[in-house]
Amino acid sequence: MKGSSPRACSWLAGWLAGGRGVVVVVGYVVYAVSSSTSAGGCTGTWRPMRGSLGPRSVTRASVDLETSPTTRSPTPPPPFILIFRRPSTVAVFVLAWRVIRGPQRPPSTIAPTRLGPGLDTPTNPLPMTIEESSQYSVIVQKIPLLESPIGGPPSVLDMGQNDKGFNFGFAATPEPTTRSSLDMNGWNSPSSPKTPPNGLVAKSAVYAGEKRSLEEANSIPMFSTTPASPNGTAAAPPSGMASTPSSPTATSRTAPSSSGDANLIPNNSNSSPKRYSSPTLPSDMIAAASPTAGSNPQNMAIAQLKHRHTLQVPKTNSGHSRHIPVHSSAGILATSSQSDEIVGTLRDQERFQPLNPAPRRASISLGRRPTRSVHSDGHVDEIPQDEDSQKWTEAIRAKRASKRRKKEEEVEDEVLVGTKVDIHHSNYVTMYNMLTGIRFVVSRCNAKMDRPLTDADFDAAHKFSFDIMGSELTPSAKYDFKFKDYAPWVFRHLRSRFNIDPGDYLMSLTHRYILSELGSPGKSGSFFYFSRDYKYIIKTIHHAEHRYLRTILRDYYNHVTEYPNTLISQFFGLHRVKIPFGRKIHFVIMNNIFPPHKDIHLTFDLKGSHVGREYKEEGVEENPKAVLKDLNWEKRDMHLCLGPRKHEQFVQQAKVDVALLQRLKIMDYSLLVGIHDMARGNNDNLREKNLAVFQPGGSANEDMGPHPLARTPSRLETARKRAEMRKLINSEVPVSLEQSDVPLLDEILAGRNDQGPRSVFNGDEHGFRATDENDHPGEVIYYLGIIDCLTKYDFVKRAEHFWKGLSQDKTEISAVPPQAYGDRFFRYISKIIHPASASDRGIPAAGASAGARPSDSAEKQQPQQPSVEPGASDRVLSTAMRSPSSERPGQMILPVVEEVGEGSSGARTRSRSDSPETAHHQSSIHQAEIPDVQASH
Amino acid sequence: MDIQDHGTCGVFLFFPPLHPYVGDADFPFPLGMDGMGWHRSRPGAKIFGSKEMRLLMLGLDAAGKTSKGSSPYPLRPQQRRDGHSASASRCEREWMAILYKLKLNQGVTTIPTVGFNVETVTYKNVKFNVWDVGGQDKIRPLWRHYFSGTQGLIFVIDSNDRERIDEARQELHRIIQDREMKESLLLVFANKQDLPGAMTPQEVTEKLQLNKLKDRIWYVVPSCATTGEGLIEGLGWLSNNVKTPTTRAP
Repeated sequence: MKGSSPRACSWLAGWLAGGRGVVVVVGYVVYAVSSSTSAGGCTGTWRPMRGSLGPRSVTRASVDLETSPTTRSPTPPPPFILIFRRPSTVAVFVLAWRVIRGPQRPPSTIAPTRLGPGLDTPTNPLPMTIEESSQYSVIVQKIPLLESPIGGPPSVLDMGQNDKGFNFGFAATPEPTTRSSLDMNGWNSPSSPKTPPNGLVAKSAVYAGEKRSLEEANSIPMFSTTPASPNGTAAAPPSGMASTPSSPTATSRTAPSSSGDANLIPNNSNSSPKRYSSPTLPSDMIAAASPTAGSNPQNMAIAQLKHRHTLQVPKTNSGHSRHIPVHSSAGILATSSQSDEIVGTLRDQERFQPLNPAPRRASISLGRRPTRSVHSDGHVDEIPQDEDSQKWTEAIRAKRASKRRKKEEEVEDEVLVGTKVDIHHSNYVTMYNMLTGIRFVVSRCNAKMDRPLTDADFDAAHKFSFDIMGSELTPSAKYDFKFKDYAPWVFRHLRSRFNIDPGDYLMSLTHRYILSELGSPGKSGSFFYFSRDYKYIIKTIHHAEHRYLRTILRDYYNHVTEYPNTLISQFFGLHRVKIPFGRKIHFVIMNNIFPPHKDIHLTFDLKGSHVGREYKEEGVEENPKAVLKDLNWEKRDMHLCLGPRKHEQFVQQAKVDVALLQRLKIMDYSLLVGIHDMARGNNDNLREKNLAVFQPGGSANEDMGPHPLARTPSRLETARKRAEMRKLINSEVPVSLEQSDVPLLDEILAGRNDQGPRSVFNGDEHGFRATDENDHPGEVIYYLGIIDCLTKYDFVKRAEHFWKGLSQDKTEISAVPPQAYGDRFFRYISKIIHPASASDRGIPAAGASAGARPSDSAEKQQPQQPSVEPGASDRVLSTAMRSPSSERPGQMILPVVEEVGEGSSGARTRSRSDSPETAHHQSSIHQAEIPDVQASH
Repeated sequence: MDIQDHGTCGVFLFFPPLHPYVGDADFPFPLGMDGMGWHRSRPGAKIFGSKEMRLLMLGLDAAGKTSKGSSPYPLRPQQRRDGHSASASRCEREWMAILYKLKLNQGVTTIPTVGFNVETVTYKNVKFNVWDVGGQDKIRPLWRHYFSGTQGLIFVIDSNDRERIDEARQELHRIIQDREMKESLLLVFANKQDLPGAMTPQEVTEKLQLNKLKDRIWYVVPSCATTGEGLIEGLGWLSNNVKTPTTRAP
């Protein structure tokens, strides 16, 4: 060593591979070069050692080294592993040099400073050795056991190991260009101008390239990743930079960190900046340090180069780095007469990989850990967390998080009503395609600037094809399908007219691939799917209906523009999906007239005709969700209890809507009436729960914050609560309890900000609340809408009219010409309206005085309400029983929105409604109601 | 800046892949079916000098600066909604600016509130297919639907928004933890560097805790969308780091 580093101690170990797969392990000496003996250099002092030098001794030796004062020198020798190949045998010599103190860092870039001085010392003797037997190939490894006090930056070589275990790292790179890269990697850096190591490295590289195809496979990736990144930065200079942007040539690519390191050198001339060159930090630190880099191209280049961070597979990182010393210091010399034995040797070495925990490992790490903490006094705080434990911590955390997420999802996944269409459902693929398509087309349209509609927008249709790979236009989807979007701009405008936030719309429908399917396809063969939050309905429609909707789209749009309060179904989208070799499925997205948060206790489907318009009364008892019909309505002597004001509103709106439908020659529509009885409410415990969630503060808010003595809620719980809260808030709309029949102007404006359709008819809890003669709010909330309004009076209907007219009263059957149908319909629905009064029959549990109770309950609930907005301060929030998520499935009684055809009256039963679960909940609801009712009376 | 947009490279339709099966032994899909798109396993690409890269550009919307300060009660529905739906945020505009910078080399003021924009940019023989998905907080869960097939994630940070850098970090880590994003590169644009007091890239790195990332190739570029600074650098980095077909060791 020519005394260049007198204080250095290095370890030299070698091993020879024996013949034919058997590894003969012969201990060769690892010697410590003390300052005095250093002159001898490697060649002189190779001496065999009796017996192999076990890891234990290594450990001891290393400890010795560390404790010895000399090793604390700032310029300790770097570690090497040398592999020598002799003509007859293959000898692998591992020269290890280690450095004490200094935190071990994950490998990233080579810090030339560290390597430079280190190289000076120990490598000087080496070239001699190599030169002597030129056929020797050498593999150099840095041994990360101990590092320089400067905070050694791990080398590229390490990265290779981290990647693939002990695979002799770079040596495997086949391209001769590696040489240059290695050269540049700091071996050749200005601070250590001595070239000899280059020879070693290059040789080894070449050799390895020739001999070890197996290794190649392993090590190539590591090279491709690590070197590429710095090069990338070098290759992509900002426009202002001096270097040409088009320079990412093969050389720069293969000589990855060359320029980077070259640039690093000036910065790293003192020891401190090196920490920045550790895997992640360097670039940014530098960039931060030289914010003026832009002015100076040179600096810029440096900064850029340093930006690169590459982390290689961390998993094996620490383990491997720890194990390398095992090999090196173990002093194993393996002999083999054949060159391919090396492979065997290497394979053998894999045994020492951390994956197969060997006793050695323990001893090594044992020996090392104390070293760091005890002996590196000045650096205690800089010792990074043990990599293993860090890794494990992260892994465990991630695992837990994913578990938590999964659980949460499961909780949220449950649907309240209907059949959940999940991945096991037969219609899952269709649903997936629908939702994917909806998300895509809506996102696509909504990303653009809004613009007024043009005539062409009404006829527009865009086709997209999705596949697993995606294209430039479409994202990748799980299944192949084609999707057609009709009049996207019109529906975008319609959505905004209906006051639907595009984000909410997308989230409600397409966030998760979950819908609930309702019942079986009705007479028309339509499928109904509810979005997860029950705000939207996807209804498959017949091709004829689809075509008809397109033709009437203009009129519909104009009508909606003119009468935003329209009772006619709101259409939010019209699409078509086609699966390869499948049929085309058209579907519309509509509003759900019924609210997600309220039980609908009675449902009627009114057409104004009487023939066959009856649901068997006996069926009603067992099926509370049955959709009753005109005759049921009359039998029960039901009324829409609306005061004069609401009466006027309703009739006016119905009039114009019916007029439109008549003009469009549509018939067979019906008025869907859902009745929510506020006295029955949803379910008492549900209400309480929601109340608790909504308490804003004050004395009664124990539920908001946990009791001090209470157990801290688990993260799952809090997460669930959070989700509930979020959902609540999303679905919440401030609602007046008292006489807010006609919202004031500012209220309407304020209401604009709420999501969801908002009109006169869904102003009260998304519904239309009954009122008495004095317009005082009554006991029930109506949910009204004109549905099934896509049936044209066409040939089929004419035929039906003719046929049925033969046997029945022509005016009473449902299939009559549109004009007559509309007239009859309007006459009927305007006739059934009565102001709510004490004499009101038919509405269950609504018999009590309409005026007294609501105000009563309002007072009861008032203190608990959060004030929502200044504009609505005079309004009182109802006690929001609105969290769909908080309700268990089955407790919610959502009526089935179903096409009710004539003659299909009571016969149909829904399997769902018969389930014992439902019955159970039903009864529980009743039980829970009792105290409430008593209290009110 | 030699940005130009040339159309699809149709050459590959006529030149079938050199070998029918490229990919990992443990990955039983035939060519191109590996979910990464064609690009990953298209051997011809190198020969013809064209690569294709699907990028996903994400980031927070920068809303809330106005609504945030005013509301002491962040969860109150009205205010929250207002803040987000009222007007498009500045950061979103910035993304657009980035996109349009890439595409048209000019600043634009369009605003994606919800939804996405796709642009294709060709730079240095690499065709970047950039998906820019809006970042309103309520639609962030939809991001994940764009993950699959993404080779590079561009995450745009408002370097001036120190308040929300934590949020950005959470979102970022959530994204890259996704299974679909395992392979993708991560390019962080520390945007709005032109503003005084903007976080340095180093600061951004720390705040985003990029150091903790394992097994991820990432890069932080200071950028300024209005001037286009840093964008080319980022693209260059991406193009140089895009994974080329490799064979994994058995």
